[in-house]
Amino acid sequence: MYTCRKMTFALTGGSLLSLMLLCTLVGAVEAAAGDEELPDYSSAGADTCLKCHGDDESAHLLALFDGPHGVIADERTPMGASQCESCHGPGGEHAARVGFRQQRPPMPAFGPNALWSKQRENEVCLGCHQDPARRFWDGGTHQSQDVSCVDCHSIHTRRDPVTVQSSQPEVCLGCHTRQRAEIHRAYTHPLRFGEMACSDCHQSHGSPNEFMLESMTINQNCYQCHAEKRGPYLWEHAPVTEDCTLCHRTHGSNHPALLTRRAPLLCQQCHSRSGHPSVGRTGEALPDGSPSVFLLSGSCLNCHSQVHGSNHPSGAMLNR
Amino acid sequence: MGKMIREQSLPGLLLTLLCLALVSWSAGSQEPQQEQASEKLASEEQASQEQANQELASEELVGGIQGSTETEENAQPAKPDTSTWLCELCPYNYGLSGNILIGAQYVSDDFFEFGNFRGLEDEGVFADADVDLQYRTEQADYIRIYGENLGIDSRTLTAKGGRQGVYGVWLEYDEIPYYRADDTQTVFTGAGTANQVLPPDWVRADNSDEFSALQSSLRDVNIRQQRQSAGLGFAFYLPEHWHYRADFKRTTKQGDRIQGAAFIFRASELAAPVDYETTQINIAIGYGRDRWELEAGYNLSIFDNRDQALRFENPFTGIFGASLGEMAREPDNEFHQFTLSGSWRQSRWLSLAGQVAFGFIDQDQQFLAATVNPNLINPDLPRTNLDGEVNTRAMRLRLTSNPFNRLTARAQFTYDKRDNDSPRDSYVQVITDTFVTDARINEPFSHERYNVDTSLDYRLFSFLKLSGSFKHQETKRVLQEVRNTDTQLYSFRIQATPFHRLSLSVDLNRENRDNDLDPALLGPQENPSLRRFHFAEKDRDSLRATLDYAILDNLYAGLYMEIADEDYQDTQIGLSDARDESYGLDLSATFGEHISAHAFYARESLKAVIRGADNITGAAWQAQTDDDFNTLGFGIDFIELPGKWVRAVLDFSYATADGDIRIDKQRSNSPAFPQLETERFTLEASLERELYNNLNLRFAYLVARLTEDDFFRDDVNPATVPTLLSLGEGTPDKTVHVISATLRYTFQ
Repeated sequence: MYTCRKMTFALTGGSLLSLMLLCTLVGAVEAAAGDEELPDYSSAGADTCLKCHGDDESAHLLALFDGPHGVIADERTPMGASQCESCHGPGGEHAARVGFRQQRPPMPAFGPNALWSKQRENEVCLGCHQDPARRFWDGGTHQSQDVSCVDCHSIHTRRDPVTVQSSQPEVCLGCHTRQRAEIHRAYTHPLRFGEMACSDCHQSHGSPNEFMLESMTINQNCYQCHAEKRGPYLWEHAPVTEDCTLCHRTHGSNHPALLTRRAPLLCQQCHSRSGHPSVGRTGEALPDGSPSVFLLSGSCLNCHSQVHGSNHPSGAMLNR
Repeated sequence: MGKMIREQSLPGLLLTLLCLALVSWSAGSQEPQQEQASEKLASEEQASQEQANQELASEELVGGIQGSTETEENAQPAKPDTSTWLCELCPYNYGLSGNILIGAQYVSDDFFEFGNFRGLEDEGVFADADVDLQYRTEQADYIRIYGENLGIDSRTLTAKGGRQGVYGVWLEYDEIPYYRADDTQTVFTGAGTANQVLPPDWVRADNSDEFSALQSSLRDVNIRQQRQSAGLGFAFYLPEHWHYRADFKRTTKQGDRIQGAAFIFRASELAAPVDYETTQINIAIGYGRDRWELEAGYNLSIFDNRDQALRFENPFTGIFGASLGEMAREPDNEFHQFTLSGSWRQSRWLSLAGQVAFGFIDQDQQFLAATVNPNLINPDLPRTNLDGEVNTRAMRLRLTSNPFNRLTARAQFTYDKRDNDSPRDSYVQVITDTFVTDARINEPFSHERYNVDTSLDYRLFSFLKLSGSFKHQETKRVLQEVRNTDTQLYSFRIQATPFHRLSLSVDLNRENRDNDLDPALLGPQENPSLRRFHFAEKDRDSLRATLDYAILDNLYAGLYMEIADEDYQDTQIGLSDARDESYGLDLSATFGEHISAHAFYARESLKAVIRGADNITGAAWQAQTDDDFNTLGFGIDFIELPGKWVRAVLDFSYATADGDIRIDKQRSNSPAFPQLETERFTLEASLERELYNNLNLRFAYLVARLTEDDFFRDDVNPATVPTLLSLGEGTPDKTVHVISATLRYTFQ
């Protein structure tokens, strides 16, 4: 069966790779879309824009000037370069006079009825924001799912909420609705309380690691805050060294310590009768029956309390 | 396994990479005019672009259309002469701005679990203070100070300063309180420390209900921890394509936690000490040009446990005179990692990004004695410390090609290795300081994992995108009954926008995992039918569907559904089936510029079947676990109100979970377990009104209720279980109200 699966893999993998190759070749033959003529820039830059967008109704846009994008002394910022049109594209046509009953043309990027695609708008941002954190943006999950930079980031603001630990989860969980439900469970990491941000674990700008994690492996990610679990211990617990999420549900659980399920069943998924019989505990072991140390309080952990590993010479059973 | 990768996956991958590179080159050569135009534009703007592109700082990197490689392909209008763009209407705000909020909050009751992560566990009045200040100059110098919850144990404070685009320094301080239980009681003197002794008048007995001095000896002990982090860092963004950054962070965690301490068939729950310190240093130096960048980094993490041992007395009558026990605490360790990362973006047709990392973990904590029982022969140890070393290796390589607008192709290879190079020796085991038994050889576990992942996204029509991917993973392990696992994951996704108000996506995934199990390696003590779920043979099917619909211009709805089904076809003992279902509905609305509202509901069900047997010839049993979750919430935010009312916010959330555990056992008609239940709701409301020009008054109210039914803890008092002296931790059932009044002063 193992060999059969390998063959299936070889065929399927080969087919996909071939398909990929074919599509790429086809793509190469198809020339890129034709040139698009952009309108001219405005005559006076931001002063042109602010004649209309500087009133009370547009006050929320003016917060840009309190934020990092609105620093004229920094020549890399939009306001240090082509001002509003650095990001929104040449606005000459949008700012020009329009005839009676004629609709004002939209700005090329970032705005109501903007002409450019999300991908192209992203290119505007990425044209400058090419720092190492965005190294894996191309081909990343967010990029391939057509997430736009401005879906998460607010530019016309003094402080982008997604860059603040306490307000970031609200931004992320707007799309990640299943995780939003999970963090409301009884046992969670402190995202709901503003004490932790999604970006403490995940690299939203693209990561080649599992679950878009910041660190290269799941365990390394956990050790950032739980370095005591890193070991190596004299007596290791095999699954612990491999993947914390085998036992823990990281976004939230109704079991203490964010466990996937309660001991003893948690342990009986992998342990049968080694050491002592693996009894299926029933309601008989509750306080009104014959209360059992194998079920109640910490269950297996009442004795095997060093489940993450033991450094005691006599700790092979993870109880010292 | 590695051989298989080389034989089957890598050639295909390498061939594809090569073809993509060729295609990229040829595509580039097919469009000389565009390329020339691009080059011309690039040369015109090279100086400004290169400078912008190579400098970083996510928060501070800005620029615009000039830097976009995509737009270079399009005809550009004449670059404006911005020297005449005076920006006279631009409302730059130099000097001090921001606000501070200060006042008091009243908590109506002691409620430990409510205080968890919040820091409001006690009844009383506490300071309520936040700060959000910024000072800027015309020369782009800045100082930013941001802090929340400054009056309580969950405070956060950050200060950043520098000259934007040139350098930045920052300081941060953060506290996170973790409160677990305040209804716990212990008989041990020194609870929460490394030496826990029984009261002088303690009378040992065989069972906990025979402890004559129990009631008189019990004293309260809270189970809580406090995490405090302080860090500093700096970054320089130099014009010669280089950047440097470094940060340092020290975190302490102090308090206690519940830990079992056993003597053969008897155990006590202890309030074990937690006194950790972790130091982290990250340094990176990078060099970047227009189309490529490279960065070298070093990460150091040092863990220091102030307690190396936990010594405790046996409250039960010890066998073989076992009246004292000792446990090892988590050993000190150090982790060093060197990384080299880089990316190359030849054009939109081809980009390549990669990372390699070499690391090692050291652990040489002095061993404790094999036993502290003076009545036993203390066996010699083969060494005084483990001299443990784990080498870690990791590699990431991703190639992305966007040969034409409709198609994106991606290939990725990842490799991880945890090589535990710690020495193997034979250690005579003294079981729970009670008796000496055979020697055991330690098992330093290692594993190695390869992933090859290829995917294609094809936009068939402007409203329809199809994606397919294939992933192959192989994992090699040592010292376990499964040496190799081999996993294939096939995925297919449709994303559609049939009309502009509606978008849909459907994901289908199929995963197969095989292994080379050798049941003989399970060992004579395990049931030969046991299959451990994390490397057992498995089929997993999953479906995810989402729908987003703009019902009106200002009203949006979203639906999602996720179903995953796992079948461990070869498992007769262990986890054999699992099924997850999750459904959700989201609504959001905006009313003008100043009012927004949202509501959501989610339902999730997690089911599993675990099979077991009391012994090889004992009664077989089957356990079914079923956790059902319901979560709902809504909120409304008025950013501006009539008159002097500035802002009003209302937010409500409700979450409940029911857990059923059913054991079906042959020849048994045992009573069922009660249901595990957790239920919590939180309602928060705030209202802010302008008093004077720069001064606002803010009222806030919060009511929260948390209840739990947990038969593992409910009615388990210290002496309930005859062979366990527990801490008697119960479950919460309380409502608490928090009222706050604060003043916000705004600097303008």
